[in-house]
Amino acid sequence: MTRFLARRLVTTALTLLGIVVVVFFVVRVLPGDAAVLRAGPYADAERLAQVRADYGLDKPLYEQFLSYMGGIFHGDLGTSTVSGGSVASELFSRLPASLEIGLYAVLLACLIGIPMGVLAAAHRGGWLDRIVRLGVIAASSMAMFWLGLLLIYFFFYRLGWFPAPIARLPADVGPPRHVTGLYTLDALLTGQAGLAWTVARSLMLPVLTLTVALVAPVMKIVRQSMIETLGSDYVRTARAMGVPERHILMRDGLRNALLPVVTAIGIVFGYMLGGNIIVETLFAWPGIGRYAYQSIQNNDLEALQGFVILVGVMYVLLNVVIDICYRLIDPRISVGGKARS
Amino acid sequence: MSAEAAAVTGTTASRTNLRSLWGVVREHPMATVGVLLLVLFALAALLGPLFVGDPLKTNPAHALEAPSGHRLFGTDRYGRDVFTRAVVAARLDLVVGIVIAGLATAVGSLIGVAAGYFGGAFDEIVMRVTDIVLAFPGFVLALILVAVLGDSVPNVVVAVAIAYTPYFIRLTRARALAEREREYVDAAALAGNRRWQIAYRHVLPNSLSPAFTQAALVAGWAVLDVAGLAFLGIGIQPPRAEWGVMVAEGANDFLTGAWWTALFPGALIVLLAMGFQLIGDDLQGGEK
Amino acid sequence: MSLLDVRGLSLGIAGREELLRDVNLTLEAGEVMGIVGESGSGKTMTALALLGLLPPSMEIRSGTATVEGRTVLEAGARRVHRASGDMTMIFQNPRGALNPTMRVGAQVGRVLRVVRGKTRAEAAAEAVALLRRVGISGAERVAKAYPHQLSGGMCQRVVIAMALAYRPRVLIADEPTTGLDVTVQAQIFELLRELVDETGCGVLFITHDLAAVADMCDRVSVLYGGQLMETATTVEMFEQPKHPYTQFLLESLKPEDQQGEVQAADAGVDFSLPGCRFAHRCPHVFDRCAAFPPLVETNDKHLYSCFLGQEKSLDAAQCSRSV
Repeated sequence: MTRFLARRLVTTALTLLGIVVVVFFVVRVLPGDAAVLRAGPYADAERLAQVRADYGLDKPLYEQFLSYMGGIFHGDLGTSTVSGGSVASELFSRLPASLEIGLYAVLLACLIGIPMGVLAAAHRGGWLDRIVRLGVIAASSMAMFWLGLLLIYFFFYRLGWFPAPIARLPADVGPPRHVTGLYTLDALLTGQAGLAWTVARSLMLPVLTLTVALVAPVMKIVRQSMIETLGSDYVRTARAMGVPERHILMRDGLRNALLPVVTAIGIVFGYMLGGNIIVETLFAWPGIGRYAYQSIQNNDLEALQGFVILVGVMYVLLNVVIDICYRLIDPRISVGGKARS
Repeated sequence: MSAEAAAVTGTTASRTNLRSLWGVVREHPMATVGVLLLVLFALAALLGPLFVGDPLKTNPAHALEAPSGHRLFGTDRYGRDVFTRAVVAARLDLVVGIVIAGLATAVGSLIGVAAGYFGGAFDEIVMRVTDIVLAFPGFVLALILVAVLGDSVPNVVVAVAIAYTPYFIRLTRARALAEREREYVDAAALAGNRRWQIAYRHVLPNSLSPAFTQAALVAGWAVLDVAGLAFLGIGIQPPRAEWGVMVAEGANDFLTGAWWTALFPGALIVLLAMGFQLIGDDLQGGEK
Repeated sequence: MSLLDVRGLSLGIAGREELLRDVNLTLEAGEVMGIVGESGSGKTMTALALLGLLPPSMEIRSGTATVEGRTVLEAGARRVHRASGDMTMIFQNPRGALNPTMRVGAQVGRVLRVVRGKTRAEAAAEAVALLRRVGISGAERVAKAYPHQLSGGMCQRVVIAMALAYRPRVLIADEPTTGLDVTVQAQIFELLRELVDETGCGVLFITHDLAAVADMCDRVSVLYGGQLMETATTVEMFEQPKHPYTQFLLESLKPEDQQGEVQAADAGVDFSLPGCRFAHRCPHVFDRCAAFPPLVETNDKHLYSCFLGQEKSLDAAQCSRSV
């Protein structure tokens, strides 16, 4: 395990470095003058020179990179061109809002996707299986921005069940005292059940939209790995020994089928981090996804660059955690860090 | 053979063809729906523009008209005919999906086979680079690439294709690693073929099947990604007739009651993506 | 009444041709019956059908099977309820036969719990005892191990311990020693024999290894292409094979093939034809072979499925009549 950890740490560090390098050079080296992009298309020569000097764009590239890297180690992701504020602090102040949607959506996707995948595999070829397979295809063909619009149209505009898609809270309601930054949790922790419900109502539509996008890979992977497990030799042995099907489904099937699902959670988080740009834009949700959208609208490359690096780093670190969890759960991977079967 | 007999055998032949076709349809009902969807979209893409008018023609007098027999999908806030725009957009969206999947498959397979077959330092570099590219969620990577490259159709195509290429590199690399150990590779080497000849004439064709299977699914996702970027105002720009652009343009009117402005183009995106997904699902083994 | 009685068992892929046709088997208590055949001859299919473990694509066309008179298999039914303790099976590939994420003691104990209704604590203790019974030294320690930490032979002992926990009347062993060392093979055989003597259960021993048959079995049934060719005591089978296929089988291992393994199948059996499944390879084939040969009995325990002998006895009958 130590050897595995050491190896994983080195490759992770390399990947993280790679992320910063790629983003940095994509922003600066690809066609398109960084100064023009920052100053806007109508800036004159003087303004361009000013921008170059401000952002150190007149210095050699390697110097720019070193100073950017140095900044990252101090938690500095540069300065927003538009607001003039620190990109890192702007991102981190918006992160809880994004996590609140994202975590609920991942949780909901698992709560729906895992049982559905298991049932489909257990009744393989039957009508339930067909519905689940069709559901996977429909959900993975769904255009999230369109689905979100439909939900807003029906549940806000037509039925009025949910508040207007304009923020985390209705205009006349203040946020709960800051504990975790997740409003539902904070409201409950401070004992304001009513506020928690208000917050939850604003959360429901965006979470539902994102869940549809996330549930497809969960169902698909659970179903596939469950089918594989139920067809395995050890399940056949258990059946031959008279172990009831229900017991096999839960102990042999689900337990072993969930191992690949742990890895799949990584993929699902990737979908989540990409999908939240659209969902947050659609619901005017003040998270990092909307921040990215606004920085594109404002040509704020520094901010966009910060967002992409943050997302990349979170995604990589999450996958490391998942990898380690996987090794802790799966007894086949011995303590030496070597898989023997 | 008499003409009569020829006619009879002709009809039986076409009948057996029909019957075997029916057999295929019954065995693969979902893929059949997918193929039908794609055929419909291909027809619309090929012939549609001949039958509808100018997708950019505004008509303020008839802005936001609800669907009717005359205007099937109604009009948007500029009085443009939504049906006309939707039909014209079919070509762009279909081609974009196919080209992205094709590009990613072609480039990914070439690199993947080389990495798997030659191994060594090249393989190591390729794998590290794919690690880094895969460290970004695909949509986020495409987003920053387009933001930097600038808004244009080719730039979107390249950006989204780059995001999907690592999957194909991994798929074909794994397969090429396995293929490398097969007898025919040794036989080809004994026959005096050069290493690159073996790699691309013998190993590559045998390593492609998982990539092709994946390509159909990727085409579907690519359609969604491009439309999603367009919805965010990145890549394909208004007033171009593209479904994602149309949904974005119609979004505000949609939420104030003019549901037709965004409903139809969005539904078409979903149906096109579904056509690819249905076929991809079947290629992946369907029930398996 | 035999312990196990299989009558007229026919299996097929749903909607397609019949693979297994009209197979009849009997097994007595305390007896080991070898089932011999090439791969694809239907040995394993027969066993899976008896246990109700056929893959979903297969269906039982006709036939019945009883254990001590209780029906365990019926045509049309996917899976007949088995009285617990009737019949179980151990498989080849013992490593794969154990759940990789479950300690082996727990896997033995689970059988005790679900089949025999033991409590968790009783099951854990008895599982260790069973592991010891199948010759595993340090059973307490092994019970806490995961399958990947054990050798293949150990895994097969664990599976046998599970089977013991089940207390079957009939145990089916499907090539239980494939892939194991020769010495381990001998140990496993010995263990199985001991268990038969001790518990009085019957064993269907599926194999393609004729040497193992000679070692282990009281009687042998030979399958080819889903057809039961011949059933006889082991001694009679080796000394007086009646069926041309059995003769071919024994012939083929005499000269150089010391392994005694049955050769893999040839061009393949055409399952859509109604006649004898061996006809296309049989040196004695004649016109009657286009029909399916019924089992004929030469003496109490020797049956075979061929027209050849019948023809002769028929001729003899006619001769005697004409005289």
